[in-house]
Amino acid sequence: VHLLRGGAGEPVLFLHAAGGAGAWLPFHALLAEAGFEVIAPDHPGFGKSDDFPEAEAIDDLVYHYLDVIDALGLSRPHVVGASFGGWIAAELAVHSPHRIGSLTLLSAAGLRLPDHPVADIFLLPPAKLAAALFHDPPPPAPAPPPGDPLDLDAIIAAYREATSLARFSWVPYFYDPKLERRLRRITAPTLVAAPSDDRLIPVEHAQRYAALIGGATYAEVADCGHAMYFERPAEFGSLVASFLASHPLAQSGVSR
Amino acid sequence: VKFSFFHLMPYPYLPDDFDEKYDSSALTYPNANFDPKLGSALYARYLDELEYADQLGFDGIAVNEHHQSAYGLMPSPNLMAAALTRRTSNARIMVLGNAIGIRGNPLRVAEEIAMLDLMSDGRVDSGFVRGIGWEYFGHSINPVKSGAGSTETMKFCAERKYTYMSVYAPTSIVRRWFDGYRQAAADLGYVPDPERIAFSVPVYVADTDEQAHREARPVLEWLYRKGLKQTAQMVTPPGYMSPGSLRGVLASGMRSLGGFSYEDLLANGQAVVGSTAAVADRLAELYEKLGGFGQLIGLFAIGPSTHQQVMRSAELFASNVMPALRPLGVAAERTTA
Repeated sequence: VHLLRGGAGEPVLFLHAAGGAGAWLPFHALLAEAGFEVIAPDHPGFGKSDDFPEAEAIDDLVYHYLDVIDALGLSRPHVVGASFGGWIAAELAVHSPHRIGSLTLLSAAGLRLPDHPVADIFLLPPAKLAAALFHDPPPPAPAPPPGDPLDLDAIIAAYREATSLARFSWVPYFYDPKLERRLRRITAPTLVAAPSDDRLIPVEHAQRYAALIGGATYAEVADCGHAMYFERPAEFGSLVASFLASHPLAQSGVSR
Repeated sequence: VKFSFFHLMPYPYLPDDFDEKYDSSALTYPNANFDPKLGSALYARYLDELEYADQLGFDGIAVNEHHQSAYGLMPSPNLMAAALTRRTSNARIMVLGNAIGIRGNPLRVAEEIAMLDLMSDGRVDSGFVRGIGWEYFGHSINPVKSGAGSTETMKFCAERKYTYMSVYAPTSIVRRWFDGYRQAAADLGYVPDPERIAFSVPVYVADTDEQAHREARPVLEWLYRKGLKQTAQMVTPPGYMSPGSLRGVLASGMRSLGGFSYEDLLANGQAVVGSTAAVADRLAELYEKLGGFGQLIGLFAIGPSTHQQVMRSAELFASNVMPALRPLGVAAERTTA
């Protein structure tokens, strides 16, 4: 398992979205500066972490992260997950509510809302996917001059991560049919946040999470797409940092 | 060499603005553009063509499986094979094949093949394909679990002495596949019977070379540029290839099938077109270039070709090309092996 770590304070396990493995972003730095120890592992098969070829469903990642939490010597960290990582975080909190100090779900996958389907991301060509991720898409990268050799390493790395993602999310498509009815098990203080203009996972998913997790706080970040902390790092950083700060680990959760 | 008449059962009625408006004739292509009346007539026509091939003396008549696509209207090749059992008498009925990867419970496929075996009095050959990438989207089957690259497939076939068949690729690549299969057999200590190697290729025969090229150009362009039009995401969904295989394909500079011109397709051995003499010569040449094969699986019904064109092409091939090529294969291979 490859992980990035920075800051000092209460531990925050950050579970990245399908994109963004191996990157220490302004968002991470903001949380670290706010007084937290941010621990950001790459999921199996993403970034610099090894493959996990025997894994076939999301529960394999739950056990994986329970092992990671144990290996890091954490008893009850804050857990923050975005998108695909948010799905893992929700499953983790359902499986082992007593191991979660607080839970933050940033436009998490994991639910099925027939009237608000998740976009067909595996069918989107890279340029369209990039455009769909942002409320205000950055200008497309200039096309390489004709005859330029392909950047094979980058293509293969992206294909590997897409394959790792598909392993858990091709079918059922980005959801676990059992998750919704188990969300009542979550005991940790929970923040559910979404960008206002999410074209991949409609905001109704976040609203559903907020409705089903007891006592959850719901927030939206304006003028932002599913890229969330890539597009609006300051807003997502301060939203999450203030939630964490107001739920110190010593006071949270149930343990005896 | 043995000869089969292969049908994809295409839906040729694509709109004039197809090229600009649609990414593909499969998966994302709207069902609203399908006319069931025309579809019904096509099935009747296409079954007639397969039955005619049996009467003409083809060794095999072949059907295959495709989903949600104008490229081919046979989600179930076994249904077509069942229809053929009743109105053909000599040809092998070749299912090339069931897309086992996307069929859920394989036992159902085994049951259907067993039924066909009895219904046809033992004339069925059961083949398998992996399913095209887009079909893993369409059927919600995880391509990550679909398994194998070409090296593994060659070994799997060689171990079981299964027939190994190519589709669509340029001759140099088909040669590499056939050599790989021969090598896999050699590693197991045997030389494969030539009939275990099947070369499939679109074939268009007309009375003169000039007529053949005039008629074949649009239908082959339809096949490669419209029928097979698909996005990169549909060709290689995640996990469909291993990262190593994908790197190999990209590094080899292999183009998408739609990137070949008509002349490229002929030069590459991705289609064989002409009068009977020209087609016989060209197939004999490809036979040499490929290191031999014992089965030729000809796609005679190509894209929007008409019923009359398909029937004439098959007639000319059966009467004048098959006799010339039939001696190739078994004997030659046995002496050189």
